[in-house]
Amino acid sequence: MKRILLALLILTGCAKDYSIDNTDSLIPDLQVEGDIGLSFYNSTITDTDLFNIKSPINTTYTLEVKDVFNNLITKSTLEAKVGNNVYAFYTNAFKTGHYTISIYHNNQLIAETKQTIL
Amino acid sequence: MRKLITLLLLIPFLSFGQSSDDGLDIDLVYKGIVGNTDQPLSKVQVNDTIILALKLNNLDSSHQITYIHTDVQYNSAAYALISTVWNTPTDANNTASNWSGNGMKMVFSDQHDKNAVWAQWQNGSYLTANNDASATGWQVDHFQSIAPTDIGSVEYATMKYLVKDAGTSNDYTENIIITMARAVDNILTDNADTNGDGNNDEYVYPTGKVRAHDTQFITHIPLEDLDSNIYVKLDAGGDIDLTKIKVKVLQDGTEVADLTFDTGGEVNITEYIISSTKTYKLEFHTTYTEAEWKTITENAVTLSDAVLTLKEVGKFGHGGTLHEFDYGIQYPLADTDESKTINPQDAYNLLGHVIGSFTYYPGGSYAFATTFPIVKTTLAEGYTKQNFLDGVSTDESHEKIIQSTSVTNEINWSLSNNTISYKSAILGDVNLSYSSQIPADASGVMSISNSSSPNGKVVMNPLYMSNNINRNEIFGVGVAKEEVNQAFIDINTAIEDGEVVTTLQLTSEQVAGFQLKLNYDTTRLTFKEVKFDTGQTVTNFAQQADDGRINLGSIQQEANAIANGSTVKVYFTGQVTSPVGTVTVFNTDAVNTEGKRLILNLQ
Repeated sequence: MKRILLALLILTGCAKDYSIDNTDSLIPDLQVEGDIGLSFYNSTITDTDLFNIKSPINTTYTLEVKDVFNNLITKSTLEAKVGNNVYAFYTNAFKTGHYTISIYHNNQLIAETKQTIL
Repeated sequence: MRKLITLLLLIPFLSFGQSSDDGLDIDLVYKGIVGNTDQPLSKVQVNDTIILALKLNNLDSSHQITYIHTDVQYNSAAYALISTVWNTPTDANNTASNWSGNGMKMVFSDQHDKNAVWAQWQNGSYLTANNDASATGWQVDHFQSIAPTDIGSVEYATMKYLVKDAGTSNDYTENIIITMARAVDNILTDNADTNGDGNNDEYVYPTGKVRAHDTQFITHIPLEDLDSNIYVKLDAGGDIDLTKIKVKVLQDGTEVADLTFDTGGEVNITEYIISSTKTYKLEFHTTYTEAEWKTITENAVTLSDAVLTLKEVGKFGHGGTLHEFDYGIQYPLADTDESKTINPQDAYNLLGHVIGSFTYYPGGSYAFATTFPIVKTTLAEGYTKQNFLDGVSTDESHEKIIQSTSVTNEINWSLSNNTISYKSAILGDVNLSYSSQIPADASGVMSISNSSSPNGKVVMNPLYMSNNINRNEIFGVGVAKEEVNQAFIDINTAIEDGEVVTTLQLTSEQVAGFQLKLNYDTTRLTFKEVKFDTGQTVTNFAQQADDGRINLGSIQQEANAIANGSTVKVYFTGQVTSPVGTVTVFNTDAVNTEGKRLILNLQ
């Protein structure tokens, strides 16, 4: 199922509205408890793994990735709609290692997780 | 390879005589030296005390050993028996005695195996010095134990021998050897009545059933009595992992060790330097991959190095000073055209190298061997600008002779410890961010080496005060490591109109230059362009490296500030469904309007 969804994502290509919504039944492993939060499959990310940002409103989130020395490696802006928003995480531009991934909304930390990017 | 070499070294030591199979084997066991039981025999030096043991291995399950007598012959010119320790049952009668005097040597019978030592007892003979000069200096000790109970399969006698210098003409072959042995079981309940007198008789282990095995003798030419510990110390800066740097030790051109530095940059080469007369050379190399090492050089040589060199030649700002370097060792690092002087071309070469338009490295190579100068610490710390102008070599090669007929001052054999110290740098790392630091009191510090002031005052580093009570002053301009200030750039990657766009925005004042290196997902994105909005007087650069990385930045060479809020936008096309992870930053650098390095933080 994950591969099918991935294929759908890739076929979608670059688009302003690039998240996939209504994924509750598609990605049960990415469910977020409560109205807002961040979810990965597990603590390891490989190329094109999906993740979910659950949002209570239509808005924009900022995702930051920092290395073990707390250096900011990348920051992205993500648009989200009410509910679950699933995105692909690309890893080819990373060195393998441990990273901290944080989601901000209006400069307020919403969720944070430590991940190993392979 | 080391195992093979070890085996080859041990071949003279090992004697491969056969076992007694179901009798008694007596093994001459080497157990190291006093103070280091792990010392291999091949490393034993004159004046060491070696430890040997006679180990019994009783393979006869029907009999015990209550009497054992082993003769050990040795060359007294090479060894001297010091002591014997016994491991035998309580109330055993143990004796170690020299019965030969000085000048007796075994002649083994050729009718029996050499290691059949009970057979040799019965059939061998001895030369004496009185009638054969070759016996001179040879002696025989016996190690005998008579016990009321089984002695068992143990090291029943342990001996210590002082190793002597018998001279280069001495033949060290089999200089300690088991020549004869006899073993008996006197526990009569074990034995049969062999003479028909109605009583059980003692059992003598038969001819051919007492053997010297596994080892009958040792053959070793002792090394010189060199007791100095020798270490190699390598210093590096930045994120260089010293455990990924190795050093080979070559003796007379033959590699004898390949050692890895510890995290502190030190390695002990003592056991490989075994002669005060041979030639020894070090060869440094690395386990970093070519790609990893290139990344290190890219991280080391950045915009601030170029700007520092521009300042040194007065090409940054409005006629800056010509003395921006703090240390003499910076000059050869900045001499990109190898002209033995620092000129504007060096600065522009460095700037071009940083921008990525070309590389000035020898042969265009980023190889470890040519981009990582390794210099003797004393030379690096004492190297002055005048040395550079005079063409004094820093000997940056990775091959260092530490002892030869012409190099005699690296190792002082009279010292208990020698540490041969080196400093390192990355070629072009003019501000030494990835290079060894120079102590503030080193003679290569510019404020010290330029101290010939006309009024006779000694110009000193501010960390050092005069101890002259009449000169209660602190002199000098100071070279203590400066606090590095910070600058900030906001970064964000988003999908805009179907393209992946990374936007960089300067959010600091007084920044005259900045540089970033971007990685992007080359499997999905294609680099399109960079658009700078940094003002009319700023020189911008953006270069795509062969590996797809984007090197970009801006410099205001007049030393004016780049406007706070200036932006750089990097455009990519491609097929992605989110911007997350598509673009990352792996290196940053910046300078302020004074040309001083800034730590550039992303936010």
